Amino acid sequence: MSLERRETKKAIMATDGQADRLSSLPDDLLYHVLSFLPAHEVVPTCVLARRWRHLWRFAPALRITGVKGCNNAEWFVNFVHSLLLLRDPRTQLDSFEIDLDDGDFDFKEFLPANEEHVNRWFRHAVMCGPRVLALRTTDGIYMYEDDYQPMMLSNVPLISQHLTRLELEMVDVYSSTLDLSGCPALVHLKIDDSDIDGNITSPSLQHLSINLSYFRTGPFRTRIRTPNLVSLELIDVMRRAPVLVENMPLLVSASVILSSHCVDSCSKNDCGDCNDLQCYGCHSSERGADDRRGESVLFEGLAEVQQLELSVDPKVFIVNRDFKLSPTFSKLKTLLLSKWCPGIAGDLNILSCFLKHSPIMEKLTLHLSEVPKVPVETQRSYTPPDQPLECSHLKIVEIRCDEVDERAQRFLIS
Amino acid sequence: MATREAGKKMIMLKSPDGMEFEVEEAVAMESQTIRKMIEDDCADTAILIPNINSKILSRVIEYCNKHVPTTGATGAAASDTVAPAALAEDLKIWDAEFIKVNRATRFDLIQAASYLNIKGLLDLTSQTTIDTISDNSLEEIRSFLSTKNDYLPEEEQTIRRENQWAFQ
Repeated sequence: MSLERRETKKAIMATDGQADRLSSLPDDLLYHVLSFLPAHEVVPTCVLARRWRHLWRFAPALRITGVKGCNNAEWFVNFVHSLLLLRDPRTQLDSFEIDLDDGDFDFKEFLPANEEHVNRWFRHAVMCGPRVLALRTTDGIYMYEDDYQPMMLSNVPLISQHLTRLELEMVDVYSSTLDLSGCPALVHLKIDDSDIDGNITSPSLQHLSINLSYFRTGPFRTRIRTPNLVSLELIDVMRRAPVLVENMPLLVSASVILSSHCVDSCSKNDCGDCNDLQCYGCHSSERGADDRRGESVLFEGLAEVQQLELSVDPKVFIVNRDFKLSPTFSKLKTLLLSKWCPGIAGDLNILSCFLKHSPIMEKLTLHLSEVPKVPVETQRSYTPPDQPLECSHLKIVEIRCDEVDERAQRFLIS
Repeated sequence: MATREAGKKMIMLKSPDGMEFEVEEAVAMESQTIRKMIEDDCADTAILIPNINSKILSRVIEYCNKHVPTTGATGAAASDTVAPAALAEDLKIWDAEFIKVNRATRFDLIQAASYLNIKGLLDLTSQTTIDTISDNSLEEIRSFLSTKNDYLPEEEQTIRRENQWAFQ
């Protein structure tokens, strides 16, 4: 903590009325408050007073973070081992977080050297049966900061009757772990900044959020099988877009952002079928280019979504290729096309396809891109059939831009 | 008294100092304790909230009002125009302002949140409390909590030795 913050805090502690009555709370409430402290600050409270001697052992939440001022990895590893061995094993855990943030570490290079230990903690954590389980790392604790590989999570299935929320950040996670059928109560799954090397399966999952993550690069795309999903976020998909395999009848909202990091892209052809056999996006079959050709990748799974936000880079062809299969969005009521550009052929195409294939759409929002997209000379291999627009339910069309610029005005006139 | 106002079911909450608060049922049901009462049909007349004075109860209602989900039964309310992330960010800023209270009030809010079983408020108040003691020396924490060290010196030494692994 900075000196300044420490001083402010001292001032607060000195002037803020009488001393805190925290100690007068009943044990279970005190446990709850304590569970917000990182583990290495909870355990030493055993010397505060007799009442506190064993409190730490029964805390219903464990939060393992780096220890400021400690530059001895061995001490830290031993601390966590002892903590896990000596806490009360019968205390049901509400949450177990391993939060390895560089802001809490005074030494770098904790990973990959201690990967095996972290994996053991994580597997132990699963066995403790918490409701919430999280494992997060940040690039600042890796030895090779510029060329790091996120730590490899042991490829073992997670089996837990209690787990409802799982959060992973900056890890490399494999197929056995991603098959979450062994967690029948799982509702939330959040994966950020990670490598996803397998198919995601969970019959119970309701909320899935994947941010800035790399999907695997083999000949097959990642399959996402989550039939009971209610909300979906696929933000900044890296490499190949995953396949939403099943129809998801309960899906209320979805956000899909395909930026230039998505390799389902080509500057010459808008359906992933250019003539250049060297083209990575269209033809590298060992890297997934041919998987699901002629079959739906994203839209089959989104067919019953009610609210959709979509943003697509001009070179990304996967959306256009899906449109060729004439999907219908039978329940889509509100559509937000973000980072949308009126002058871009692909964006206009997306708009007209949605207008034709969403029979009950009520509200359409076009959020104009702040930075105009650069047009690409794609060869138009697909133009939506010239059928009448089906959007008789459309009540509101909203065009949002941060400044009323010429583009918006021109678009409105046309 | 459960009444109806503009199509929304209202619930009356009473504090022990005699103040009455009329709130929407959905807002009151942010409290799992009240939700249970309503679901068990124990909420026909006003609900008396024991141990929580009107000052604290009004703050709790203020919190619930802000945190009640904005999407109504029709599905598409405010949330379709504002990204969920932006909404969450907005709530975070609001929470940070809300919890700028003195220690006594925060303590009362912890107890109220616990009794009424409002997880978000309990987490917010707990986190804020922890933020003020985290990174302090044990001596500072002890004085902050006004906990008297009732160990004998040799006892404290034993306990320190027992848990040597936790002290750097």
